[in-house]
Amino acid sequence: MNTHDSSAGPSPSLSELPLDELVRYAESLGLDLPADIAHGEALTAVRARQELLLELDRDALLDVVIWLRVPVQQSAGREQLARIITRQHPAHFDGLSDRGLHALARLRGVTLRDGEPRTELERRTRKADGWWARVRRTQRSVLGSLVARLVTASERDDDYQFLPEDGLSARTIKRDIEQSGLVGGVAKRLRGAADDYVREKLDEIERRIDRKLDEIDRRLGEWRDREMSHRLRILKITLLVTILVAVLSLLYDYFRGAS
Amino acid sequence: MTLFEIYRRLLFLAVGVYAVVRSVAFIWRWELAGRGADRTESLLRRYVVSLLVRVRALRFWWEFVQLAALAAILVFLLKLHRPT
Repeated sequence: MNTHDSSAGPSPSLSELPLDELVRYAESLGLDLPADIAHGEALTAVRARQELLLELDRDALLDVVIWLRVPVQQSAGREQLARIITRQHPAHFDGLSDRGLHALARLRGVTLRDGEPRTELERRTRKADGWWARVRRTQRSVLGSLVARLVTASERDDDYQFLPEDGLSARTIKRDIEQSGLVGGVAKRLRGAADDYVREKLDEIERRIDRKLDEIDRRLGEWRDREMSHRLRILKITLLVTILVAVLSLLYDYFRGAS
Repeated sequence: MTLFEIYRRLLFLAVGVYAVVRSVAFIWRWELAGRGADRTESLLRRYVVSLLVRVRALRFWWEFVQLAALAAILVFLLKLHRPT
């Protein structure tokens, strides 16, 4: 089974690669190795990651990427999916499937235990993200709270709130900023709003086209009825003239016979 | 052959030829329009057929009755003619 991207394929012998290429290859597998790592350690880490990717279910990785709402081709390989997942640092796992959570946990180096409750696995996965990641997340969370307060300042708490229409609406701007940073979170929100706007406009255009087509159909129907009525009238006039000529002819025959 | 006989035969000839030519031209035009295998032409052809199928004949019932009555009168008048 090929788990390598065509752009970042390994050389025939991994151990013969120089350290910088090995580190670059590790990055393509979603591994962040320190620059001063020893060649042997890097080699071990890369091989371990390769084995892990072989063990992981591709559909589970795809579950995580879909849940993260990161655009990706449906045919994306395990390495690409792993690379995308390791760049994201979600701290809340609502809506993620169990197999997706398992894949995410294993990519973060968490060992799965039999019969372990989901909440416990989520806690260990969150913890495995690293101290600095948690600090950054807290920082983004605070920033997200501030931005959310600024953006939704006009909404009073005692206002009636409808239920969210779908999963995306349920995600708060605070959560988006916490996960993707200030620019990424706001961009994600704007992209969602732009998508909604485009979808609404397309629906409106479609409705307008449908109305026009109905109007054209109605007018053509009226034209057809008028045309048919016109043709029938011509036929009637033709028959009347023919009858007139027949009467004349009959009279002529009668007078000729009488004379 | 009298003058009226000549008139009648000439009228029959002229009107008959005119009717045949117009009918053939009409059929020929529609045949040409319906022969195109282009997607647009095919779509248009199917639309025209559906438009014709959706004609509500009952809407023209009075015209049809008048036409039937006129045709019956014409047939009756033709039968009244003596064979020449």
